[in-house]
Amino acid sequence: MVGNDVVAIHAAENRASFARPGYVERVLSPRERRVLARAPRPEACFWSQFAAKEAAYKLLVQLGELPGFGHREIEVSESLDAVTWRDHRFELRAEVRPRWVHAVVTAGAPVVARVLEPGAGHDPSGEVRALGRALAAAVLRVPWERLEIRRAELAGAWDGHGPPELLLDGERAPLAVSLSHDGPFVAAALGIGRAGAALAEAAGAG
Amino acid sequence: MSKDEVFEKVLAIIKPFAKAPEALASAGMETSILKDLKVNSARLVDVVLEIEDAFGIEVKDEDADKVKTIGDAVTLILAAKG
Repeated sequence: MVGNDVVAIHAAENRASFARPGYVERVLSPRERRVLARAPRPEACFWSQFAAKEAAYKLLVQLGELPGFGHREIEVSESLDAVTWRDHRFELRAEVRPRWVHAVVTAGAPVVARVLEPGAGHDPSGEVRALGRALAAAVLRVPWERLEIRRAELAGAWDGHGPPELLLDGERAPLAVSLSHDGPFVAAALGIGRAGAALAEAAGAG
Repeated sequence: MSKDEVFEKVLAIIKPFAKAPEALASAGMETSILKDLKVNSARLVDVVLEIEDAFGIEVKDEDADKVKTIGDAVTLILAAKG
């Protein structure tokens, strides 16, 4: 299982949110705000923490939890290597670049992840699915046409849908997938469990 | 404030953050904020803060969690205003 989130640091909407009175306090715990106060790049720091929370949220949904609107309850470590929520603790991998931040959260499984900037005029929803399929095709060593990403409806979920699922020839593939897009960036992460690793190895040997 | 007035005010709050103009044009009480209006999850925090400011109420996280549609927001606001 895997969750990921990408944030375009300098997107106008994100800059406005960061500057909005009360926004940071609504999202970050007191401890996280102390980390932010010391950060040399406050916006990058904040959006790294936010992306980590979003990635953890997506992973928690896969685990059957519904963290809801409680941003402050999902806590990000100062070193950006862990996220906790109640009795869950996840590994966090955060990448902070000049224009974007990307967070990937897992329960310890190996991960393949990528951030791309498709360019103006591209549909981010379509592009991020294409990225997910391309990554999966490379891991599984199969033609990408055999892969499909879908999201089933899920009552109670924030947007009415469950997490994305990767299908190989119409059947559930042994890889977890998480998709994200913000501004000009799209990001995908694959969680490679033992079954996925074995399948990739078999495909390579065949 | 009437239910219709609250609805119109909530719609005005959400409008700048909605990425689905066609859904916005036909929005009703059952319209989903995330699913139909495609409001980004980061903007949900903005929406909650705007609602608090516009209506002079406090929206607790557990109450915000129950707001999936515009109608849920209207119900929450009317309950908070008594």
